[in-house]
Amino acid sequence: MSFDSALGALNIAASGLGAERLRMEVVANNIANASVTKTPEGGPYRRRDVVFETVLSSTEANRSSGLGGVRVAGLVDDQSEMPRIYNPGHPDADVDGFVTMPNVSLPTEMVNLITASRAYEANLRVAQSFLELSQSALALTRG
Amino acid sequence: MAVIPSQFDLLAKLTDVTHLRHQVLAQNVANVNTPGYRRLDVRFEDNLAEQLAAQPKSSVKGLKPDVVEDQTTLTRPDGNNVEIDLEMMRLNKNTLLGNTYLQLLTTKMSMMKRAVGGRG
Repeated sequence: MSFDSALGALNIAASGLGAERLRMEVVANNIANASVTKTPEGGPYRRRDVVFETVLSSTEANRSSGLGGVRVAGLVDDQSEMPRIYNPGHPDADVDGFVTMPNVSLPTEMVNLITASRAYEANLRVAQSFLELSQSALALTRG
Repeated sequence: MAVIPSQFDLLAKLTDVTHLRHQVLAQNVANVNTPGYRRLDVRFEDNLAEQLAAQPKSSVKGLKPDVVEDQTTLTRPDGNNVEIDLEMMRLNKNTLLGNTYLQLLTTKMSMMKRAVGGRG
């Protein structure tokens, strides 16, 4: 058993921590841009979502069971419709006085944030219990 | 009588399985938000019980744990069947069991040390 596979659980937990952290960052970005009507691509900000995928491990020992953790497959733009609000004084208002706003909805973002932060805690707990177990195993050498 | 107590093999095997189960549980927790993911589980104890009950006695060294996909539990709308609270409970149980096995190993080792050293 190689040393890397001995730390397998830790690597898997770390992949989970990274993925959930990115999800929190994306949520933060969505909330920060909740009223942005000008973007480099033109038009209002479109909310983003992360897509996770399971990683099949590349090391020989783990390949059969496929324990490689999780990774972010990509960021996707939410294609749902943008709300339009009446605000004729706004510089981005159209001829009828309507402004197209980003399709960010705060309740959705907050729910995503809580899910991500709870999942982050769960991954952290896995890493902690793995360390605890490893400490006991190392204590064998002390006798 | 063999020099190394027979329980050493068994305890070492159980420690190995604890280690593998920890990885599998880590995989489940890491994929709690992955759409379509199905949780994995380790099957070992049933095989072990069979082996221990079997006559004549044979070594447990050859026994291998199986990693299996869990198809039984209800799935969420996203096709994922990980229940995070259950996983955390299994994780705690696994840590506790692992510590128990290691504690048993430590005790046996110190007993052997005392026997070899010839001191009380």
